[in-house]
Amino acid sequence: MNNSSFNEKEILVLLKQSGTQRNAFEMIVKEFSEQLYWQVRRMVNDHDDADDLLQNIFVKAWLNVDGFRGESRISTWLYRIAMNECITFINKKKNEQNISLSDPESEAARHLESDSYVDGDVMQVLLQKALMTLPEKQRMVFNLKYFKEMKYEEMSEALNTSVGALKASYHIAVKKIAAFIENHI
Amino acid sequence: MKEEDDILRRCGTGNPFKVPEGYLDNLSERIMNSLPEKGTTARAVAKTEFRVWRNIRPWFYLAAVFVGLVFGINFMFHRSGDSSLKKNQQAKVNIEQLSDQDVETIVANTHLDDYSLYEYLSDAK
Repeated sequence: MNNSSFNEKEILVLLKQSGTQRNAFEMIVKEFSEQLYWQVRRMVNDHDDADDLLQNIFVKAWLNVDGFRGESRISTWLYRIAMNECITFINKKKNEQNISLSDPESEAARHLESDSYVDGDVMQVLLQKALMTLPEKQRMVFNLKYFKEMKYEEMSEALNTSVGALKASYHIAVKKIAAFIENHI
Repeated sequence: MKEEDDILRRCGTGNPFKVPEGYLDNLSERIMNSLPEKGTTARAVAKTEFRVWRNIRPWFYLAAVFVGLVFGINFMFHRSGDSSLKKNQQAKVNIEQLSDQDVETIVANTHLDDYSLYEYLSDAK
């Protein structure tokens, strides 16, 4: 993240004026698109799904930008939209295809190993498989804390969950993942 | 947390995923190109509302005419009914109050034949 060129206060001012709104939003897209892509990708695994979701997230943010008053950080606002989109997408996919993303032996898990866009070492892929066994929200909490090192307070705003519940969720997720890895090596 | 340290030690925080070549280079540009023009949604909603109104408008007018007719007929019917009743009552009272001499004068100056006059005075139909 290049914080030197991204001044949140300035962007908020520009965002409120119709003449500069689109340019301000473009700065937001440049700042957050890549990191959001990776967070979404970790949730859905598949590149095409992540790409579609990312487009939807920014379209939603753009259409609701007038309602954003800056009470939370821009990143928090975007993560909130992103995580809601991810959960909606995962639930829809589970219902439509009647598949279990949480089953380590499922088609989705096997797809992870054969996907040409997955290139990690064995342990990284194993971690991804372990993540797929977690409920969506727990996986989200783990990803944001473990990979992004997001503070619980910011996560609390993004996921609309208390800090205590998030800490408990992360703790449980870590225990489950550690046990999964222990059983699969 | 011991388990967290174990995961970090074994798996690290590396990224196992890849993206198609050049995907991230023009990601922002593609996202910006996919954004709709601002106000599109509001205009679309307004257009939809107008379209719905345009479709139901003839039925609305037809219903309004029908309701108007029903009220109008109902109003006129009751009004004329009340009016003729009052007139009848008034006529009856007046006829009853007339003296024989007055009746003879009326009969003499009326262009009604006897039977019509009888009908009128006796209320026969």
